[in-house]
Amino acid sequence: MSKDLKLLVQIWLSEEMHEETERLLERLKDDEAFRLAFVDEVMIMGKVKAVNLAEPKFVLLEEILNDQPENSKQYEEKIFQSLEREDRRKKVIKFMLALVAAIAIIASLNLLKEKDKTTVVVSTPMEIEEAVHTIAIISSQNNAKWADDKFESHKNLNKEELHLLEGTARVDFIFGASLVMNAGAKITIEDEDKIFLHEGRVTCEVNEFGKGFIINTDKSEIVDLGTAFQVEAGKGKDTKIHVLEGEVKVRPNNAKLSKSFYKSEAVSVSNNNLNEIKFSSESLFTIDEYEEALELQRNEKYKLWLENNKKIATNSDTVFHLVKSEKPLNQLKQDISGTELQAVYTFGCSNERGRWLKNGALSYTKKYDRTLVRLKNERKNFTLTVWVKFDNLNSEQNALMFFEMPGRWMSSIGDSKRGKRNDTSLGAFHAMRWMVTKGGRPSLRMGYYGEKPVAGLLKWHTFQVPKKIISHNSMGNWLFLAVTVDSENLRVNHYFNGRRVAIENMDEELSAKLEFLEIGNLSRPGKNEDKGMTIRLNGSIDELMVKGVALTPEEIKELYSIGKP
Amino acid sequence: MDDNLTKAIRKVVDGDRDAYWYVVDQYKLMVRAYLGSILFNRSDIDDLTQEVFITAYRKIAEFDQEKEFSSWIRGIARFKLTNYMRTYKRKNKLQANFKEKVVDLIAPDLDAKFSEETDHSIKKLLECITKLPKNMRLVVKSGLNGVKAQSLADELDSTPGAIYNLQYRANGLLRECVKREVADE
Repeated sequence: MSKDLKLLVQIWLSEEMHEETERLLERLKDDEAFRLAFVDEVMIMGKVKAVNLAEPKFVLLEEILNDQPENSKQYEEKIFQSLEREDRRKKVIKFMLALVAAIAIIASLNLLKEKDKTTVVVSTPMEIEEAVHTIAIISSQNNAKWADDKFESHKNLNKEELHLLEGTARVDFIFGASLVMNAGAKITIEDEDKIFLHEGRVTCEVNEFGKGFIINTDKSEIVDLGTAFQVEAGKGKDTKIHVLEGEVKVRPNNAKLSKSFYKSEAVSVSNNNLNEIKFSSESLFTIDEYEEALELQRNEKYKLWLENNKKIATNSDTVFHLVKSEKPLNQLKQDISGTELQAVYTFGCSNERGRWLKNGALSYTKKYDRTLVRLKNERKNFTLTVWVKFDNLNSEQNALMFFEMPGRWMSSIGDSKRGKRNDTSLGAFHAMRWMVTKGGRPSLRMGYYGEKPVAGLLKWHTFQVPKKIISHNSMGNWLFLAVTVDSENLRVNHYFNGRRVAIENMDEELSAKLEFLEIGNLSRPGKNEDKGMTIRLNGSIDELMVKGVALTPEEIKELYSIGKP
Repeated sequence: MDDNLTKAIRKVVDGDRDAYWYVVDQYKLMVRAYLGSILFNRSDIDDLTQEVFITAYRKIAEFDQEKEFSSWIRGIARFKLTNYMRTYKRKNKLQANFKEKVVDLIAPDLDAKFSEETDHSIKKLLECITKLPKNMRLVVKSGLNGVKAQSLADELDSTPGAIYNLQYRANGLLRECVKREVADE
């Protein structure tokens, strides 16, 4: 056996085939003693490698187990790691230019809209790839319905097609051009300074930064030289251009030369010809006029939302309803309604602007930011809803709401002297955690004390949306999430922006203690060797509700519809 | 499964990520040794070890705590190994076919033997390696594959066949040594 074994070890190590290979494989299969002896050989060599080689540093595992970078230095490192994957130099230049322009646009918009506000914390979306690849954003929409409903929450745009079926929407380009799309408009963003208008009507306004912005249609090329104009196009139809301000250059597709048109001039373009037409102010509007109309619409919706909040406040099923106003954090209790609020406490946190122009939000940017709420409730049927804006989903689990037991508020094992020891008897409720995974899947976990294999070990029931519903493109946007637990029908439903995205079956009736609610980061500080733990929320919440009943899909849809600015 | 490990797993399932390092510390030597039994390249061993622990972390809630954690994590290692072999096969079909066949044949026995293995006896190997004759120590520390055997043969003015022979004899001496060291304690 020794000879064959030596030979097999040699073939194994040399990685070279041998005429005896097949025979040795046969023997390995049939001769147990031979096989075990060979196992001893490879095993000892494996063990030698394990002890002999320097211990590896599991960088990726560390990244996964650690939280996202907290300081700007790490943030910059991450940016450059990301950039290195592509053409680094080109991307750095592009990114810096894009960043400067984006900051300028955001700053100017904030200045225009928020002249009377002095203390506004603007959270910055942290997704690096998004920052690099976003060339336009849907900055506002008015009763918009899209052919692809992802644009309801997906507002960061790259080279892609947008088809607006109903309403109006404004698209801002990173280098200083803005478009308002009217119902029926279909465009393709071809570059950061170029679109193709397939059909419908758009109003375009280009400032100093965006000079040279191009709109192509199937009949013409229109180059904007710092102006405002409206374009209407359609398959087989002539393109019509009305100049509202400044100068545009228009060239029929088959022509070599372009011609300039100025304020209050209008032109119709076929493939070969330009025909001046009468400037008709009917159906024309500037972007300012669009914004005014939008503001009026928003105010109406805002009033409707406030009215609905009053109804929610007086509804006996409302356990807890937080609607963050602009009041300071020490007055948070005044922003809360519901039947069972006993106490509320904010730790860290800061005020931010909410999804409406006139409301506020709780911003959870630091690891320890959190809000503690004491309720008094135990339910089998209930609904949790939240309006949340994630800055990122960098953590494995990203926090929304936690219902923990009193012991967690003092230490991991409880404090019997202060009456806060957890009930760890078999089947006792331990915690309920509503989170979103790194992969953008909302998840509800309900934990109870079991008995096997050791007493006190937790049994978790997990109800998770099976596919990704929150993408990186949704970062920085207000999203409406809801989950309903209906123990009578053994169902857990997940909702995203008013739509049901998952129906999960429950194995058994589960009851949750809705007593100790934590909003934001679930953190426990470490002591001595114990490093503590944190489940992060990197983002803001401006409305949050606990209902003592499982709302129907229609009710959730209505909540979203009323609550969406 | 020891109590500390049970507690650590419970903490991890409960969201305490730091507790996972305890799990990694307990099993990294075994997982590296297991993968090192089949793979030669150090970075492959380390990369796959890391992948095993990442997968185990992500799936830890699915682990049935009435079963042995070590065999569960070796199961993940085996799965990763199979995937790796498929990739490797595209690069070197003949050799990979041979390796794949061998791994299929020995996997159950390898797993059974590793289930009896302890970190302690693996660590004893370090002492035993120092007791080997110089040439054997050099061969063992080289962690042979085809290329290294040839260059080592050149260095020692020998032949690859003789080098493999040294490895084989060293393996036997190391096994004996570990057995003796553990028995003496």
